[in-house]
Amino acid sequence: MSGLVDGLQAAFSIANILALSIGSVVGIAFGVLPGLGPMVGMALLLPFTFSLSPEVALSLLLGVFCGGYYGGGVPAVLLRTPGVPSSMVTSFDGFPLTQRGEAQTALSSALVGSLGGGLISIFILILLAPLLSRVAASFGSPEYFAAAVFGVLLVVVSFRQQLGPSLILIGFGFWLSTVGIDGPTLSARYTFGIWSIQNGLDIVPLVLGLFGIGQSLLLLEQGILKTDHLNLSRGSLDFSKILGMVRYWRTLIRSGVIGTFVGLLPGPGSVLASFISYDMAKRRSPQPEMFGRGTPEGCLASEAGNNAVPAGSMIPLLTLGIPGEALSALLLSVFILNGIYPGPLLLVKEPVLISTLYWSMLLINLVAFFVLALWLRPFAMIVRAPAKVLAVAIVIVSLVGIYPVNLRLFDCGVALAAGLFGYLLLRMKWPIVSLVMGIVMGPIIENRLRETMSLGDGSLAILFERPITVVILILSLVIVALPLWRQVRGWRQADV
Amino acid sequence: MSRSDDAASSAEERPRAHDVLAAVLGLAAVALLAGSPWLVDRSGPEPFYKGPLIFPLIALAIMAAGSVPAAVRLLLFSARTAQPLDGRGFPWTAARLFALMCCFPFALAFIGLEASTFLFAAAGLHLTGHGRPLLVLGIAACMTAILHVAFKLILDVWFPAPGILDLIAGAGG
Repeated sequence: MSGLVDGLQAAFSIANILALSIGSVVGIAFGVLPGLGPMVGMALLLPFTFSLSPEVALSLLLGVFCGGYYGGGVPAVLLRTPGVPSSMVTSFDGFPLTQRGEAQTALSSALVGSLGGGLISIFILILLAPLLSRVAASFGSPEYFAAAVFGVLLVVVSFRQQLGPSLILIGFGFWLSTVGIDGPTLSARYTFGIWSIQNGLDIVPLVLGLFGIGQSLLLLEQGILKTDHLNLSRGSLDFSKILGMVRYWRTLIRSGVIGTFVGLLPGPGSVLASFISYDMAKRRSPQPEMFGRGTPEGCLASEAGNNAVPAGSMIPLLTLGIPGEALSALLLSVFILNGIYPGPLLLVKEPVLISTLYWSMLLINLVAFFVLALWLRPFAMIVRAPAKVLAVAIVIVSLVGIYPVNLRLFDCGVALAAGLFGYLLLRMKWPIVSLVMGIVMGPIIENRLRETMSLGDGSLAILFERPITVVILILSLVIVALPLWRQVRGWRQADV
Repeated sequence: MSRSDDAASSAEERPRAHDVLAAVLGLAAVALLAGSPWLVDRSGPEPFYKGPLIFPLIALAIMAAGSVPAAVRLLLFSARTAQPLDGRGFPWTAARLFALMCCFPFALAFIGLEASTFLFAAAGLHLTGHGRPLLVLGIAACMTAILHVAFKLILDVWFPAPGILDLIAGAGG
């Protein structure tokens, strides 16, 4: 209880409020911009976090994480162009409503959905994290190793349409994480005699390059949107419309719960959460035929589902140290950069930090909701920002952000190389998330693998001797075998 | 449709560039796998599973395995795959900006944050064809001011003295 109160005090400190407000505004702005998204915002703000305390740094990035989902719904409703992929589902009903001159209703439902989904998921996070943490407290290295491999497998399987590229990028990410001096053995690995590589490839230039520079180069070609048609009847949201959305409370709760539990799973959770929430709302609705033609309930369900994902993905991150997606992988790197290692003991060792995170997430949702509701038009106008200015600005901020971290030109070189590679991957639509997961999960899996094999005297048979690892391995086998079995069945039916 | 038809049709759907990239990465992985005993200092602890080589080998093996289908498609169905990447041609604007930005870190170290940001923002906007010269200079000045305020005044990030100052001091002294 005292942890909760201390966390509340820390969350309401001026520095934290400022950080989460800036993060939310940056997140909304990047979420509104189709083609950029919260990942670019988080990558850009990453160098700014080094001079901040851990809880303030996390609030800043969490603000971008959550704010991005809030912002993504705006262009989906107004222009049928989702700011973030998961808001695509919001456009199914949001845009028809806008076409009928009911943009206020559509945006109100999307915003209420986002707020409701966010709050419900935080509530579940607070309840579930200690329970999972208690289970995880009995984990040893083999269990962590199995859980981490399971997480990576889920990411690979979630991109099963691009299984080859996903595997290549995961492997490449793992390999990149091994470059430099190996901590436990102090052996140089793949340094090619270059002194600067001895310290390894820092995650900040890699992520800033992949997302900041890579996405900017792509932005130069694709542009953002060229539109003069933003059908807003007023500059802010009509609060009477917002209150009207309370009648969909059942859909709100259901979608929030779905989103949270989908967020627990690694992979492209927010898209799946939106689709499942929308589909469930349609099935349960007395007027399912209205879905797709413009019903506020559809917007609300979709946004509640996708906005519940950030808190959902925090559950495995905080309790097991396993990130659910690229955005939480970046949060994990912030924890590690600050010398904090997420896991079951984190809730015991750092109760104030965890409690501050809970309160901060709550505040982020409220700040993002009110900021967007009150300044809807200025944020909607962001879609008119000139792509060339944005691209040049992002590249410059990325490089300026990297240089002072270690004062090494080498890091800027790494970022530029990563940017070129990231551009190529983004243009070819390869699952860049797999690469980030590989880079972040590589050291975790390597350490656990070593410890597991040491426990088993060089044999992985120890994994089959422990009940939890057996369960995780069976689950892993199922998620790998199920799609393969379906494909083989499809071939057989085709042959017949 | 049989399995081989399936593979062939999936090869047709996807431009060859995807398979080429996958195969190149796969080949690089195989080369690194073969060279790993020489590229990794193995004077660390025995046995093997505690050493520095086991995980990189697994990582490279995953990369190589992931590239096998692409390599097979490239060898067997290359005549049936589409040639262009996405029909958008070569990204000249992006390439120009990238080439310019490769020089930016050196300028950052040599002439400092403000001067390099202003110069490269103006040059970058000019290269990408954004607006009139006065507008370009105005935007570059705004970017410079924002970065100066954010990094130096608000975050108090330390940047080393520009190299050019040392040169001037050396010449003067």
